[in-house]
Amino acid sequence: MPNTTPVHDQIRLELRRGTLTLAVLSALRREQYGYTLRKTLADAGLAIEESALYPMLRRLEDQGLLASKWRTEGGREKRFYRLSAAGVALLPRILDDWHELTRTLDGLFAGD
Amino acid sequence: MNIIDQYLHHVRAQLPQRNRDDVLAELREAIGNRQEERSAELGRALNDAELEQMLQDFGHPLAIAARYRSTPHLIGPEWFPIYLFVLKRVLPVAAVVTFVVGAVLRVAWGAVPVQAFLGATGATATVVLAFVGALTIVFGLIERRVPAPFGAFRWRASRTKPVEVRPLTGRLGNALAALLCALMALWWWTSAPPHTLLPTKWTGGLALSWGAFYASFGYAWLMVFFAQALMHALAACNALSARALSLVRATLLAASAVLAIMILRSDAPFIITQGAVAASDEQLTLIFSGGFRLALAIAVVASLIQAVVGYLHALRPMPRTWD
Repeated sequence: MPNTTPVHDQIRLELRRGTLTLAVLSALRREQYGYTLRKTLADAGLAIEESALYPMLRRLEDQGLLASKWRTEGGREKRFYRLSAAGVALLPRILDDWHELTRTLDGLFAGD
Repeated sequence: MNIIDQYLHHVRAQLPQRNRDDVLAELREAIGNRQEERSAELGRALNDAELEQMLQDFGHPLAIAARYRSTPHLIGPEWFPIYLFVLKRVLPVAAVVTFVVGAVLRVAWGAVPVQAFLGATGATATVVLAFVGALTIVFGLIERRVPAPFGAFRWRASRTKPVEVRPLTGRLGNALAALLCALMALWWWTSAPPHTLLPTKWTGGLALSWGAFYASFGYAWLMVFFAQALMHALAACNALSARALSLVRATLLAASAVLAIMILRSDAPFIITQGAVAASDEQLTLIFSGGFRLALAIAVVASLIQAVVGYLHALRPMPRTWD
């Protein structure tokens, strides 16, 4: 992206951090392993580094929103993730929060 | 051991104990995927140089492992203000007490004042470093073991001291203290005997020689001290704008630096030994002289930096203040 400044980069990073969590949860309604998840997100326009994605998956699993299991596929051990029951129950509510937030912000921006 | 194993070994060393091997297996998978992707692009297996480049792109082992750390800081934002508070309150007291007690004890044990001063200074430096280190370790442990207490506290207006508004006193106090120091320097410069600083019985035969100072530019130094006293006096009665004060201060600093450089370039001795001294004191004299030159050189560099900063400050547009 042209003409970014360090402050701009930092704010964009902060904006992305929360929304990436939402994107990951949403993409994991279908079981995927790290590589395909990254590709899904990248194809949708949300590129994310492995070094950021894997710790995030682990954190979400620690929080009980994801379940994972190791399975051999294509000759290699891979860790497959998908939403846990708690994650399935929580996702629609987080999506509601998201829509609510964007509506509120749109209202605020429309005041300009 | 191939290059990927080597890389993962370095990541592993930095990972927290919990889940270590699990995390490692996952990273191995991620790296394997990347490797497959890359070699599919090239249509052949990667060589070592390409593998290394790929791992470099993946990230430094320290950075990768840091992402899995639950507490990435030594002292977190909640405990840090308390840490800083304790440090600011206790450290000066500890330093002063160590210095005074150390100096008094050394004199009582028969050291001459210069020795006592140097010894107490060394002891104070040791105590300060040890205190900062120990306090940091203690707060590092507290950070990991004790949740920050603010949830349990409630701020009450009635329990806090009423705020007194005291405009300018800080600046006035500083200016008066600086004026006092400048006047003392002036008095001492004009009344000290030109060749010795301290009575020789205090220093065990060593005397600081002002010969070099007076011989070269004694009057120039006098003018610098006088101008400094004048500047602080004007600042104390608020007669100078912030911009003018910066400008004058920077100029005086630059002038002192130039004078000090000229002294450094002259060969006159800074320390002379007086009275009957043993031959071994010759070496001591050399060491003191060298130390003094070094200190003067550091002071020159510091003054020049301050002068440049002062000029920049004076020349840039002043921000509007709220009052």
